[in-house]
Amino acid sequence: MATDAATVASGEERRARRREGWRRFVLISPAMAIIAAIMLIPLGLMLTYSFLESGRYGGVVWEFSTEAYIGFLFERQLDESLAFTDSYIRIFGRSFGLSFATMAIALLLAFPAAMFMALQPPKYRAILIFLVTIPFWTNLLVRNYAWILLLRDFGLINNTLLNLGLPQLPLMYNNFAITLGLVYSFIPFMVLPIYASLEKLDWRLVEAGQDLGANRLQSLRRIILPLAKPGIIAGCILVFVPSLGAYITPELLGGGQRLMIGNLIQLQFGASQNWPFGSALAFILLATVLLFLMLWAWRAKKRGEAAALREAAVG
Amino acid sequence: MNEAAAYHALRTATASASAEGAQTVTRNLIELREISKVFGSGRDEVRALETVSLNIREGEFFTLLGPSGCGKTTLLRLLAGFEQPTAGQILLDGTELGGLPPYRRPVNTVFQSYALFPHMSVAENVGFGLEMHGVPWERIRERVDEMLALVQLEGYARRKPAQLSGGQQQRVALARALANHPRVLLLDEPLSALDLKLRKEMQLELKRLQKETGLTFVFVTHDQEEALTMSDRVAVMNAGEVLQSGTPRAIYEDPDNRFVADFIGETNLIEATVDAVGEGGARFRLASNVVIDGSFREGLAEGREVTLALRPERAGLTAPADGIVQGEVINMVYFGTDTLYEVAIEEVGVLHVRTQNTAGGIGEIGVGDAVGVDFLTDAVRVLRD
Repeated sequence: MATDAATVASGEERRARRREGWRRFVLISPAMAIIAAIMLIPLGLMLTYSFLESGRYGGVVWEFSTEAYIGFLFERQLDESLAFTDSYIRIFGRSFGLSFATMAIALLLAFPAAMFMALQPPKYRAILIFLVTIPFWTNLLVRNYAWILLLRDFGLINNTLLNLGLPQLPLMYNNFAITLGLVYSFIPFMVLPIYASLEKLDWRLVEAGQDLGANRLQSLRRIILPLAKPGIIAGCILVFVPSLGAYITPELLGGGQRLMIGNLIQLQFGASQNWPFGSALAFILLATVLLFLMLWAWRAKKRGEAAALREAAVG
Repeated sequence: MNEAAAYHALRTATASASAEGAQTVTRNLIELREISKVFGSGRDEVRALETVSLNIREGEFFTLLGPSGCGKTTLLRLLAGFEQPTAGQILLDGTELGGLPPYRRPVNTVFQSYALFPHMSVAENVGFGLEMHGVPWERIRERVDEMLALVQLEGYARRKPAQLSGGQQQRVALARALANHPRVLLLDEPLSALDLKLRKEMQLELKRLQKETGLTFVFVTHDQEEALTMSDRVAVMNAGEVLQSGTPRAIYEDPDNRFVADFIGETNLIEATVDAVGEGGARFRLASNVVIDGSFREGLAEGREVTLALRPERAGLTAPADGIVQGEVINMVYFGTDTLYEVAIEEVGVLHVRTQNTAGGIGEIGVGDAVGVDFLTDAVRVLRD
């Protein structure tokens, strides 16, 4: 009798669980459909293209080929042998370097700004957030042209220098100009998440720290920074990743002389008419970024374990 | 004297003072001289403290008691250094604290919200102050163990604050504030977030800690019972002023003014005129023309209108003929250990009388009965206002 009752109950339970699972599937399916439509399908298309042969006048020829990936590292000589080439890797390296510099500079500038905003009375904060987002209201292209007007050889800055009898500075078509442009474009993405984490920070904790003997620097290092970490990490990712794929800024302020990955990819779909190679480049970029993020997460986890160890030593 | 030197002087004074221990109980450790604090300016101006002067003695449990908004927390924040006084001086051991930032004051605070660092373990929280002062790791570790033992939280060192109950968080906050060897421990309504049973437990615990460490505690609360049971001395505050300070007994038995009499415990306030002033006592005429004896206060002159305070438990019920005043019971509330009677007295008002429910008490008295109210001469106190 008793076992019968148990089986009935568990059968009932199983059915309930199945119903629950089905309901869940129905509820998330619209979101899944959108993700599939705007992310998985284009990505799948790109992945497919990267393994095809390029057509003579653009487009693709439906024939399997790994030529695009080989072409990233090797150059095909006249005798069909492969020779290693680092020109694309150098462009990747430059892109990563510039993006990292952009991220670091943006962080150094954005943190104090976010801190300042978070410490204002609430009624001023909304205005300050609005001010931070104002550049978004103008087209990115226009903003980059504005920088050209400022930076070029006879632009506002250099003309002023000349009028003061000072030497002209080479402000355009170099890494400086690209980094400046990128920092300018993406700094709101750094300010806003850091502000969000500082804004909800309990400042009584900072008071408690000072009460216990932490001076301003120690309060920053031991209390404010650790508590703002989620915002800092979000900001860094939000600046680093789009900087890597930036196209307009390096094109205009780098003068097309200093290619970044974005420009290289654009070239493949434009002048070079090599769609598979462009797709392959995009995929290599995607894979590299994911790899970096995973390394980062792994290191953070390790550091967490180290902190636990230190804790064990203290406690 | 520069900040660092002043700080050093204050810290070294700790060692010698705690060595002397309880003998120096009467020495003033903290002197507040005519402290005023004004927030904002113009139309937004808020006068939080109005020329407050107080002395807090070495090793005592001192309580700032008052309703919310009375300035008691502001006073505590001035002591901690989070705010600077608009006028006046704060002296610790004769040294002016003015201008010293919180991290240079030998004073630690237990916050109302506990303010434990959520990203640090219990041990890191407790050791934080010592770490900031550059104490070596092995010494910090010893002190953390010592502090956790003191607040009975051994074995919790590696937990995060979020994994602790409210009472446990409270203990961690205490251990953290005590770990630094402060000269004064400031407590900002630390028990208000706890439920009644836990609050009673922590009251005893705090009292025990204060005795064991011999430290000076400055405790802020709006709970008059808490203030009476825990403190060596209490300062009653209202609207930015200290109205009366003294031992709990002095404040309860001999309130200075209406606010203190009314805020602490229950009291009957009776309007009267001074009828005669004699040696050690005075006679007062009530509105009903009954004349009663009461305590004497300086400055009493015949014919002056005064307010008398009479605690409900200092009065008793009698047969109508035996009472000093007569009236009718209009309400009674049974409390278990005692009963509260509300007695309406013609032209005087309603008097509250509390009687113990002891064996062989005054027998059955019910609503509507005519009774007399009796009290001793020294139960009738004259207020200043």
